[in-house]
Amino acid sequence: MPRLFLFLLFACNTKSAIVDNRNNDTADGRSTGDCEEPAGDLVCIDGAATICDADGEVASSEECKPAEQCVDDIGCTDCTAGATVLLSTEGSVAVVPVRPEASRTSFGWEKYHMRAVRLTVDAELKSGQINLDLAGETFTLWSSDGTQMDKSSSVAISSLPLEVLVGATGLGEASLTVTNPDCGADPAVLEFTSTQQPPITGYPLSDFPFFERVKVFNQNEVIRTTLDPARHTDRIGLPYKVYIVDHKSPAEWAADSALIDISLGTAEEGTVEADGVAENIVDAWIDEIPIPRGPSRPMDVIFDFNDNLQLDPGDIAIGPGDVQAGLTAVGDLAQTGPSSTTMFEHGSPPWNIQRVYYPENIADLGPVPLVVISHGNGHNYTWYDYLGYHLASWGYVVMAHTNNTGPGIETASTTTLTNTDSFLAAIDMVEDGVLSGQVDSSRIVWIGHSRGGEGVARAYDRMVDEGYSTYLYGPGDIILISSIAPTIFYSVEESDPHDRPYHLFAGAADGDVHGAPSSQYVQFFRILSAAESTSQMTYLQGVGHNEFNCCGFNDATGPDLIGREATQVVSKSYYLALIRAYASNDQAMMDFISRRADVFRPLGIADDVIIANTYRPDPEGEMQIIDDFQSGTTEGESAAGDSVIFDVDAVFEGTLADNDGTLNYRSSDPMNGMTQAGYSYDENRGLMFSWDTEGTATWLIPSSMRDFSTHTWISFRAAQITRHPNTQATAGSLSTTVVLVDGSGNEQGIAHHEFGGITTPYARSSSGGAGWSNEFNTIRLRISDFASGDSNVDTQDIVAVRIMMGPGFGSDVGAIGFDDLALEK
Amino acid sequence: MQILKPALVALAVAFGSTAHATAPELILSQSFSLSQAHSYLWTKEKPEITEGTIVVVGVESEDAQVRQVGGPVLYVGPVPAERVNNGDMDGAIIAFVPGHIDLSKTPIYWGPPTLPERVDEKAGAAALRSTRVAPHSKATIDALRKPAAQLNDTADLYRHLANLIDTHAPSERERAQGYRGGLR
Repeated sequence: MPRLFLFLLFACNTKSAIVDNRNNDTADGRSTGDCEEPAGDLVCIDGAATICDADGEVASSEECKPAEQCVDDIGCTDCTAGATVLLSTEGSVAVVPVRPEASRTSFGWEKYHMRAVRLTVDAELKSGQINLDLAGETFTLWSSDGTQMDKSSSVAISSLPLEVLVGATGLGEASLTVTNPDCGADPAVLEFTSTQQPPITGYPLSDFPFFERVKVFNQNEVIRTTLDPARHTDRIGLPYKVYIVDHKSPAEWAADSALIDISLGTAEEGTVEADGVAENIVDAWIDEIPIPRGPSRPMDVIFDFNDNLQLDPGDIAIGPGDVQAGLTAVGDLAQTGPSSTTMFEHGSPPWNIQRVYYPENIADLGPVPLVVISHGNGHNYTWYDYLGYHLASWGYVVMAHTNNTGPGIETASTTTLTNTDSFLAAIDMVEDGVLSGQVDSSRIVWIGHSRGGEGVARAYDRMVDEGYSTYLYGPGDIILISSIAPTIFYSVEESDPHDRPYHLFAGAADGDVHGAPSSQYVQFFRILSAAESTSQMTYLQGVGHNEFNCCGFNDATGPDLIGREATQVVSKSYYLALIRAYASNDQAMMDFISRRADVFRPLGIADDVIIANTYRPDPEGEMQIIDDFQSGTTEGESAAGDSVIFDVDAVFEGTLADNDGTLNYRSSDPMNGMTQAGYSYDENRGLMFSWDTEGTATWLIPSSMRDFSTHTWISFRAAQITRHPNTQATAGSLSTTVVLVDGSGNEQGIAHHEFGGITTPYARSSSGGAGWSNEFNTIRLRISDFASGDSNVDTQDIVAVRIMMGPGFGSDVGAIGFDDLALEK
Repeated sequence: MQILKPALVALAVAFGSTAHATAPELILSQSFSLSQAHSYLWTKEKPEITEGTIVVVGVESEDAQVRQVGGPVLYVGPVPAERVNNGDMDGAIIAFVPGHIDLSKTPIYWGPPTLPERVDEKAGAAALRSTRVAPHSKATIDALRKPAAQLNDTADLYRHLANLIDTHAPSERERAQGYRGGLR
């Protein structure tokens, strides 16, 4: 506080604290005869507030206290440097989201993810400086104009009050010490911690972690938000408003931070409750979300803590500054898109005839990706109109060609290769050049069906392994290969998608390429296993071979057949999602691929369609394997090099290959029904075990891998063993509980049934039994969820991963194949 | 480690017996000559041919359904015939093989399932030895033989075959249209 009032008190001679020292020496030995300032002025002499009289003597002198500084005309003034984290409760540890990309260039939007610190001193202090010292390796200090400051910096007191920003580029803790070096006061010290901010939208769960955090919803779902008070301890008790706004680019957010809620017209209000995640759930958008254009609506979500209708540093924001929106609502992907379409045919017979579908407004869309469809044996290039028109209506050029599948796979692959080339060569000449310059030959998707499905993998292999020359595109231009129920006549070294993202579509009721172990040529899962990059599978119960086209004979075999129309809804939906994700960088669509389809699927697909699905990101750089069973040679050793401890039945580690060619279960064939591998060049290995009561499988984590917090997911894939007595007893989706154990012995489990289960094998019968292929499903759990709420688990020090089974942890009994326990970015 | 026996299992089960398949009935035969050679891709050797024999055969619908795996291969003698249609809807398959074939000495039959591109001379001879189907009689052949066709090139050959599809397998007119160059 200014001390001017003290001067006034002194003038009235009523301030006893200030001593009249006239004709005396001061206590510190200063002479009373050297007061040269005008009489009556308050001046600072040697740090003391001094008044001279007309004789040049010291009329009075006040020694300032340690936390005070003398100011001319003012007197002793509080000199304590003040520092406050805005939008935070006083005295708390401020939480800073990790944003590795913050830079001078990106500051315009990255600032919103930093915490603002207001620096103050007493208003009367006009000179000098205060020192800032930020201690914390992963933290950065910024001025409000976007200049990154040294972690030890000085700020002129004359510029105060002002705000500086604290950002975090990685996980850690930090303290900011603010000192006035001319002041004896204690420095101000602020504490910070950084955290990966997970999505704040999602679904309530009945069990821990009580909220599944996702960014992507179907448009008919209620959008709910929550904050974890255990994560945001500095917000407890603070009111907020939840804004859902249309997604803006980083530059747009930098230019305009206004918050305009689009949900119910008003932002939902709340207060951060201390109790838990569930208590902080807010229904942010209840009604169906309108989608004005495109298949989805990208939005951003902001918790505004100062109710100023602006996004500020210190608000909690998901989406601003990111390529992917904070929230995406997706419409019915099976519905026709916004573009009118045209189809034409051209080419030379017999194996270079092409049916081409394109959006009529292609000139407005710019170069668009090319989707090539290679049909199967006995099929025809005209049989995929449903998919061609559909994808064209969403802005893609689709070319279905005559495919020479009759002789075999080599000829099929040749026609895929040559038709892709000849189409690109013909672009300027067909349809009066309407496609000229409008097809992006660096974004080509190959879809093949059946022999054509193997053909597209074979075609890619010929390009990269056998030097097959193409003219107008190369291997790097094939951005996705998708096979529908592919044969596998060749080895997976020959029909090999190599480093390309690969997708497998198949039906469990397929009466032709049926996937069962009785024939090596139908074991399409092996191509999926061979894929080196991102791989994904969509496996449909009740679907035969020819439902994926218009006109093939009815081969579907098994119960609960869904028919051609429903299958093509699935096909249209998933292909649009896949192609938008891979060819148009629409990352929101990957949720349909990476989340279990039993809990999240495209809107148009009926709930009773049973879909098994797997997703594995690119192992190169995006995964850290705990155990894929490829390098550990015994059940007791993981690929990561540490121990595995089992308390379950019938543990068997080996090649994922049925060894007797039948689906009927025998204990001598522990990998019954597995068709993921088979040969020396195709030795995909995994684990099998079963349980009749409580059981555990525990992977100890080597010290080099214990920081799980740098990853987003822990995942594994599992399949129920077909026709195993425990599978028959389960008779439905199977679940377990995943537990993380830290170095202090804290542990936290998440039962994955609400995140998705492990499908029961399709009840198709043969040889006196019922149950078809082992259907792998990928279970992915968010690592930060294990540390949410009242969990004490330290995800930076995980020493064990335990799968718990049996009553209380999931299905009472079970028998599963298990593979690819991993951490994912 | 388990011991894998995939090949044994697969061969035993994948390619089911063709014993059930009914012998194709000849509907028409026609030899042809080409001015420009055509690459015949339905054998491992992939010969360049300038002569061939077209057959149109009547078949059981179930036998004719074109499968991806496990379906029988239509042979003319030791050579897999190139099928240009499915035939299951109309009961007629149009196909051809290299060379001018004396069908009174050469059976037309369903052989064991495989990829035709894998059938070499040895495998073709084995298929021929295994069949119990006899050639059609000379009288039948003579009655069903059409005059030889002189064709220019592959495209001309397929246009000719497309006309036969229109006639004998009209349900597959769309496929025939493709052989003519598709919709124009």
